[in-house]
Amino acid sequence: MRAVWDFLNSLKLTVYLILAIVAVTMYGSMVLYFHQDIFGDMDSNLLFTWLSTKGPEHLAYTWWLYLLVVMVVLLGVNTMVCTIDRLPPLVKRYKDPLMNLRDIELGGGEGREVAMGADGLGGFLGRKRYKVFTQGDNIYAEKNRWLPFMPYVIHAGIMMFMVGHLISSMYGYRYSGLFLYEGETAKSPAGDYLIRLDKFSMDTRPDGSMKQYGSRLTIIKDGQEVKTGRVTANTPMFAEGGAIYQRAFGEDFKGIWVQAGVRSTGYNGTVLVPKATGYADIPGTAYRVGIENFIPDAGLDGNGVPYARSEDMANPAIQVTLYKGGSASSRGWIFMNQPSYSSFRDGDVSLVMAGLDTKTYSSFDINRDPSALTALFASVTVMLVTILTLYFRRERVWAKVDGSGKRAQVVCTDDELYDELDGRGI
Amino acid sequence: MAGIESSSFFAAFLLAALAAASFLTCLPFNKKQIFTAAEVFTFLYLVAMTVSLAARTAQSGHAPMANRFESLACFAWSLGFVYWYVRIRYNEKRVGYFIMPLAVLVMFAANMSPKDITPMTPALDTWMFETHVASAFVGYAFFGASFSGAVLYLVDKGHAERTLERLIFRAGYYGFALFTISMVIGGIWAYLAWGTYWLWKIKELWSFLIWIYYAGFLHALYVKKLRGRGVAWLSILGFAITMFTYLGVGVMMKSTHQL
Repeated sequence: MRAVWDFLNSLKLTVYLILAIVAVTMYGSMVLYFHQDIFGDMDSNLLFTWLSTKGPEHLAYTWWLYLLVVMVVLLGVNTMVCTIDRLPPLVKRYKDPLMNLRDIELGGGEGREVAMGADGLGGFLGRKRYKVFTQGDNIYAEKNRWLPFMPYVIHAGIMMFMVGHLISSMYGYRYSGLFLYEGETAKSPAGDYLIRLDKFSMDTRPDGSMKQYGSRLTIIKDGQEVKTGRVTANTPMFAEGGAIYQRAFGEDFKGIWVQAGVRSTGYNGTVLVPKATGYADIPGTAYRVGIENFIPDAGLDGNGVPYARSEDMANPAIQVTLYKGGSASSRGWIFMNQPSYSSFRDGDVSLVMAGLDTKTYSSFDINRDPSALTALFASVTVMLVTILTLYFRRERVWAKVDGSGKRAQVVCTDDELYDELDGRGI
Repeated sequence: MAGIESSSFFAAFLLAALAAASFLTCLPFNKKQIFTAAEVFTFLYLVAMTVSLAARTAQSGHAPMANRFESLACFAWSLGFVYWYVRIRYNEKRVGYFIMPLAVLVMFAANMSPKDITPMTPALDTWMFETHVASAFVGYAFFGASFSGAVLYLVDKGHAERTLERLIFRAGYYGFALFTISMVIGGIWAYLAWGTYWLWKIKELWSFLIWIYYAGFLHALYVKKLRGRGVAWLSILGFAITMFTYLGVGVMMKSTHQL
């Protein structure tokens, strides 16, 4: 047991474990980069869900992740053992700094002799914000005595972060791609509540570039509106233990307006063909317009056949079928941006694509990270303490007052203090 | 404003080249006058880069970090800044042997990149992004200073060893602290923007790698066997990892975390 403890309590283990983690991560990062077909969906899953489902299917490529988890856990244990082992003596020493008072010679013997007795030197160091301790003719003084604890605060922060991340990796929740149209309400996949998209809006800069976009959402629970807020690119909405994030947005069409002219009846008007049914009757006639295909951005290939160039609504085109008395009479393509051109031909009926009946949609991710606050607290603690340790230094002074009680040999860690003492030296 | 930006950028490029050439000339001819000239060029370089970046910020309305050119220019500025920090704090001007030639390479890469001003996308338009990037770049530059100290320590053994040891460690520690700020702020920003503080992407993995590597580096100082030359070699390897993360992974490989 002692051997195991000593093994885990080793600083060498820390360094070599970190080097091993670095080597495995380097290797793994390249595997991950070149095999997105395997690793591409990791971020939309919890780590441990992924490791227990998809990971084992591709062990030849994913083994390094399991090894990495084991090594990081071992590093966490190593950190914990080192902290447990080193912290109590540190506390003891803080309470009683004279317990390990080193003789003045241990300071290297390079000190200065100053013409000050115990009281004078103690007073001088006190004014320099040193905490002064005296034992016989020995003086020991220390500044920023709290500093030796700071690495352990950092270690505690890192351990807290690791535990938080572990919990989130097992008990969190991730859902990607909740699509809502303006005014639409849907049940949240993350809990027993409803989400309504009230309004999607976009702000642009004077140069036309997008400044911000976001959705005004309302959370409804048990028939009551419990929360309303705007979700933007960097501002999620926190609700019902989770967070709702703005993702994609765009316009979808719910129907197509077709300008229909029927020579035999003299009808001339617009007909809305709903996307849901795909057809609409031309009023007062035996004709029905059906939509077979829709291309948002159509181009024509070498044979004059339309194909999709992109998903943008740049050049919408529809393939229509005209029915007469229930049977198809003709079929062809019509284009919104070229109303005079149509591959549709019928002697009695003319069809022109008049427009799209669109509606705005917005999509959302819903995540629940049970340890987000723990991770935030831990990481901010690590950051702040790391910064603190940049600005403060632990300084120590050892002094031995001679028999006359008027002179002392002083050794200090702060070279600048020597300069000030020099003014008082002999 | 565009004129001030481009002319001060090219002046900085020229001054960096003159500074690097002067420092490298000092290697065979250790003349005080050449060192002085190198330092004057380095100082003017930092001034010119500061003017160039300030003019670009005034033009674009955002911190110069929105594309590759701005990212490289910021890193080049950081190198000049860290040179002067090390010069004043440790009175060690020989780090210029490495930092200024590196600054020239970075300036060259920046000069080869498209210089158009691009607007910040909504997700990037936040102080967290700017803090994340700025602290990472200054951190990288401090790792560069630690690297410079390490090379000097290995090739010029016996000369100011204690100062160089302190430089290797302290610059590494400053870099680590700044990189910690970058990681933490970046994590908070990612959580607010993408719903998770960690993404399994190559740039994130290499950033983690830098952070944990330098955490190990700081511990290595307390392992007797690694003190001195061992720590110096670790510093050199650390800077190689840093540069690969920034230039190799960040610029050359496709990533959603491009810079």
